[in-house]
Amino acid sequence: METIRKNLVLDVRQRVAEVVVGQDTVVERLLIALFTGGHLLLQGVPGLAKTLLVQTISNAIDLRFSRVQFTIDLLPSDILGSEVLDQRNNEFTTHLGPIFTNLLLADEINRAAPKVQSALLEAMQERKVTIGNETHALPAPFLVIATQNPIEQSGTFELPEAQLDRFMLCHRLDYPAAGEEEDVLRRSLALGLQRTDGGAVPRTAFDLLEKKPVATGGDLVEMMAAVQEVHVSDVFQKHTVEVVRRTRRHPSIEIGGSPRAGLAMIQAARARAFIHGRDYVVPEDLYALAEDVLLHRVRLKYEALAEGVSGVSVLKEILSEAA
Amino acid sequence: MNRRLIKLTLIASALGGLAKPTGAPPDPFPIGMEGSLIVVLPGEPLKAAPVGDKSTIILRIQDMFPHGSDHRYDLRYFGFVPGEYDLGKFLRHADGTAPTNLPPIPVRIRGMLPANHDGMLIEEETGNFSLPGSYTAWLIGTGIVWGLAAWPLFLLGRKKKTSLRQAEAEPGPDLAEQLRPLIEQAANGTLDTYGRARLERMIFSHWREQLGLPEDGDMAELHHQLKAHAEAGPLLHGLEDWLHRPPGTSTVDIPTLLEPYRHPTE
Repeated sequence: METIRKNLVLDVRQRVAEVVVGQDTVVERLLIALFTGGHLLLQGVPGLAKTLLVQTISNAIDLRFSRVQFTIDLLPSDILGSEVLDQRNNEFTTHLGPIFTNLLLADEINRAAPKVQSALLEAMQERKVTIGNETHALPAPFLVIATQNPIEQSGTFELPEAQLDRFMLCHRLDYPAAGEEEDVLRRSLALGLQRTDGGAVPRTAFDLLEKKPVATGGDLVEMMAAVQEVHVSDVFQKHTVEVVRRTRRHPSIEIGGSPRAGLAMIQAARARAFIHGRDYVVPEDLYALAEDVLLHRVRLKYEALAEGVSGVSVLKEILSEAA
Repeated sequence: MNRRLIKLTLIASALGGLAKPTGAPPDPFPIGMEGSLIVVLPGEPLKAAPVGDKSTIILRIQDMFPHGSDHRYDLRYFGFVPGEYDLGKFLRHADGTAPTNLPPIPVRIRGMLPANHDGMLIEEETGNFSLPGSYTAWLIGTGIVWGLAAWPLFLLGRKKKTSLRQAEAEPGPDLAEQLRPLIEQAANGTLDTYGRARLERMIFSHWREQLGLPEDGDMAELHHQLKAHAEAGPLLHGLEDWLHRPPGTSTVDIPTLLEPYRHPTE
């Protein structure tokens, strides 16, 4: 059974690697989110294959996938659904929104108005949606992968700390290495044209998406169950509490990590250990995940920001002191 | 009943006030301060005379009310030159002509200087206190005294800082000394969870120090490097097995693993 699970993780990674170049860490974070049922916020400039990556994983595990492009005029009902009057029988019927899926890609979440963000984040937390007088449970597994562009600030609504806290992980995507970027170009050169109905369009990486999944929803549930069996020692719990508490005491930090940060760390570490083929977590899991689990949950003091102190440097200092 | 009585009293006092212009002039007002006067004057409504460069008094009509066939005026005035004035001379008909049928409306403006003042500026009296020597010399002297007084304070602050630095430089037992009791307890099997967590963190710090790895480096990467190190690796792997594996699955012999650290050769 253990071998099958390991193979599944490898198969998913292999499938992603066929379409997306590099991005191993992001793939790992996506799998962690999938295995723990936590939500993931991807922060990065456009053009880093975020959408492609999410769709590839969705196809690889045979999950229902929806993508919503968040805009300023988006309404909560555009995501959650609404009641529609059926003129044939003069009765209201419920139209379920795109949130009723397994994997929802909320593209550029910070472009939507706060009421839309709030509606989505409430659904993320409660895993159910109320439309009219009826409450509908969201499918299981349900995972939101949101993206936001850290550079453009005009016309955006920054997610407040309380809502950011609902994302188990916030991963900051970086540009690919030079070799990887060359590989991207090489692959795109080999794509060619796709002829349809007498015409032709250039093929994109999305055309390479293999529809046949390597794992089913049932396999995913099995992996989720296996993650819950990963052992978390008392010592690891002490390390986690120590690091989270240090974020609250650091002179450059105004608001430190919440207890939810510790819970997220434990869950994410379990999934990481599982992906790395261990049935127990080790301090390396904590250190590898600290930035993604903690950084979006802390707010630096104004004085620290004015001095040019970055969240990453403060976190490094905390981890170094805690070691 | 009482209200009617108060009304009558007020009217009587107002009428009493109206008699004033024909009687004694009101109390004098100082130059530049605005005085007021309520008078009842006969005839058509009047207006204040225009003010010129040489005007010794400025008059304005704040309010005017019909009073039977006459008019009641609320006059406001202020003067520039002390003396007695008849405000009637500063009133005009609507066509700009001076009225001739007005009773005298006397007012007095008093000056703020003494009556016998000859118009010369008054010299300010100087105080009795005077410094011996020049002002510059005093300034320089005060600066030197201030500097001398501040010097001990500066030295005091410096001394405190130095002692703080010394205290930082002498934190007591070093990492190896702090590790020793933890290692002893671990070898004896008496180390609690908190101590185990400390031991793991301190051994990591110890090796990071030993190998000169950067303190601000990526911690996960540093862990990875240390675990791959020939000397530190087995210890860290052993510790991980002991501290993090599910209970009963670790095969590490802790006393043997920690033996080199209990009796260091150096």
